[in-house]
Amino acid sequence: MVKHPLLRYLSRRLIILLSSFAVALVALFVLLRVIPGDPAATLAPIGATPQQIAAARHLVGTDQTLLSQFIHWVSQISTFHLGNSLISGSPIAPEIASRLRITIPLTLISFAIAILIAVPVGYLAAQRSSTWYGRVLNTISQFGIAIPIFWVGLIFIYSFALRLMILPAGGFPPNGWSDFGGSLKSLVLPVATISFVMSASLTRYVRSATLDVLNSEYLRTARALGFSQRQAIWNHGVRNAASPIISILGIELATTFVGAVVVETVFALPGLGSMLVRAIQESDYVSMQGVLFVSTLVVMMSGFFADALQKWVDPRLNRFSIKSETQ
Amino acid sequence: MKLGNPRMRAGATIVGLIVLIASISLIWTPFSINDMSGGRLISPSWHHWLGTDTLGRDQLSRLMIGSRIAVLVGVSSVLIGLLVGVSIGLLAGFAQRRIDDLVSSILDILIAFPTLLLAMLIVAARGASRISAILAIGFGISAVFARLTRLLTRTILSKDFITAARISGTSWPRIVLLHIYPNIWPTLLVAAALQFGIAGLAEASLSYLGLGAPPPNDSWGSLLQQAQNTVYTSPLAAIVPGLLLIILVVGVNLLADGLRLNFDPNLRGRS
Repeated sequence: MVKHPLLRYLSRRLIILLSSFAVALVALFVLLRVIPGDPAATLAPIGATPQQIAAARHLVGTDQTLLSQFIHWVSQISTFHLGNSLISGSPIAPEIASRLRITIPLTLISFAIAILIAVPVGYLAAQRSSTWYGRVLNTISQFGIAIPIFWVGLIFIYSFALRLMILPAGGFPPNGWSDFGGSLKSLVLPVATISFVMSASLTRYVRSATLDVLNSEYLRTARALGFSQRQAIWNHGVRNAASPIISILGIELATTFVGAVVVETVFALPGLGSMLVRAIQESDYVSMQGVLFVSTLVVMMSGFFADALQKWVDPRLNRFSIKSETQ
Repeated sequence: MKLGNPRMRAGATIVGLIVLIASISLIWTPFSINDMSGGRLISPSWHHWLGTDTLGRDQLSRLMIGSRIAVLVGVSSVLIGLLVGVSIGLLAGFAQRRIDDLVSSILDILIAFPTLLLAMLIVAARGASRISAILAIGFGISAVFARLTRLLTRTILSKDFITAARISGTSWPRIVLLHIYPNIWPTLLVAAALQFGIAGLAEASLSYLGLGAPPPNDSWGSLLQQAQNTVYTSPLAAIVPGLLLIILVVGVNLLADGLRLNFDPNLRGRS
């Protein structure tokens, strides 16, 4: 029996992660089989004979029972082979891997920049909430959260690429990251777009969490006991403010990841998002399945880490721990 | 006597104006949406206040139609989301550990399909239509409401006043009514406003990606997508739909903030 409450929580959370991932696999499989129309029909030529369609079905595997298709898919996943694209016929796992090389840096860099902006700005906006300065910050973040991400991208393209002509309007160097400078250059505007929008919504969360702490009774009590404002916030405020922010971060990282879908389309980046959009337009369900599987994996992992971090910061969340380790 | 506070009035005015424009578009637009007589991509003039698009259609008329779609999709998907989400959240918040874990894992899965991703999935399954978008966005945001409700319910249930209420013989339904509901609704209202914005933005994103409602009833998102190719020559067509979306979302957020200040006794007088 694991004794440490955090480890016990983590092992339980890991079981939840794995089982929910299993459920997600089933749900993903079932949802994509709801799609009307025969995936094999996409593959067969127009006006194909029944024999040709049957052959295409056999090739895709839709002539098997749903259960054996599912088992086949899961066994494929366990060997990191995600099937072949219905359109190009080539395996999609290498394609996903190469596209992740754009989507993951795009997501992580934008997210990190957004946090770096949001934490100090949100804290200041709360700290100075009654001054004009705090009000201005709050107003900016109010507008920021309402901005459609692709619109920001469009404005950036218009001003920095078309008018000032200092950055590319879109695309990615054909030889990828081996052209490091060119790659970075084509990621500047997409990263700026995502982190601009994400930092605005994060700022609001940081601000409201900080305000909750600043107006709390335990902070007033700490002040009454003679702690300075700084000490009181540091000893009692930070953990309390961090807990809700961390749980939001888990969701926001996923949002950032999916926000990359749209931004990749705006800037014509060959990332995971544009692959998904193309797969939907071509009704290539193998590619859809593969991309959604990888996205689910990424998103569930970020939720797991957010929960673990939150539990570490705020041990009270565990109903079963008898005492928390810090007082 | 003035109603509410400045934020609430500002928000209500903005939302009211957009709803008014949307209702006017039901019976009248300056030009018919299929009227291509305007000449291609002409600049704003007395005749066409915001110019025309590549097919010679009046931009102002198209924007008015777009406002209708924004309001419709926003309201219906938030209602679906609240209905589904709050019920599931309360269930999970009150349930035994096993049921709570089960519901939470299902919520994790739903949240693993962020609004836009789920919407794309449902669009792929049902075909691009307004109903697909509303259903997809509604179910997508319901997970957020459910998780929020569950978290708030759990936090409140761990408080001493709940133990006190139970000891004094209050039934669980009355606890929901007397203690849970008054404590969670301001947060839910703010969340609903934020989700209205997210729903509007998600719908615009879907349309922008070409997965929204088919033409000619274009939403602001598809107007933006069409404007991207001609952004250098007619930037106004790309700027205005985005601005309108921002104004709508800011309006709803202001309204929610104002309502919260007005009703939450903890915030009263703090401003």
